[in-house]
Amino acid sequence: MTTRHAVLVVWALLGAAVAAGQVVAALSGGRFPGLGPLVARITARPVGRVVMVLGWMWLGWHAFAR
Amino acid sequence: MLSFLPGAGRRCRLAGLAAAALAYAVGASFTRPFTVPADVVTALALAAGAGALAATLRARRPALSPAAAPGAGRDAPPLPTRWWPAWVALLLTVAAFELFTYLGAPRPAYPTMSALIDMLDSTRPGKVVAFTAWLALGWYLVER
Repeated sequence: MTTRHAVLVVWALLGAAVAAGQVVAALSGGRFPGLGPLVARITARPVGRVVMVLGWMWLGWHAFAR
Repeated sequence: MLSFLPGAGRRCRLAGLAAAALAYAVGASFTRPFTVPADVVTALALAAGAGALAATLRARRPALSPAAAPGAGRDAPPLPTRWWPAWVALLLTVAAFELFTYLGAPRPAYPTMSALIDMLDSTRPGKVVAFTAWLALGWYLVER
């Protein structure tokens, strides 16, 4: 296995962990929170919402334009 | 016609927005990064996001009467203190691994998240999926 393959496996595991957490949250009936409450906590304040949207803007520009 | 159903108008509006976002993403899939069309397509989406953010902030600005604006004066929802550190730890792990791959050399052996997105963007269907997901994320952050 090359270094590149090992790195891709780690990325896949991290992505699977995030997805599994979201699935567990959806099936737990509120006992285990998903990312939604965390995002809601951040976006409840205007400053947090602006920071999150600025991050979204940077992501889009980085991924699709430059 | 369906106005007697609670939320029917909202569902229709959401369906329209989703269809428009998908159509826009299909259009964006014909552009390539580092070109003027890609800049324009992305910048228009950013401008729409900025406008929607401004409108949301204005609508939810605390007023003299808290009931005057939807969402105005709402408190941050409490987080279950037992579990949210698990999410923070996972996100910090992702950030640390991103830093590790960013600093790794040679570059092709250490693909970053950007490289993963580039792989997805390298095909037209992949770019449609990625662009639609990005638009949906923006909507989620602005409208929630």
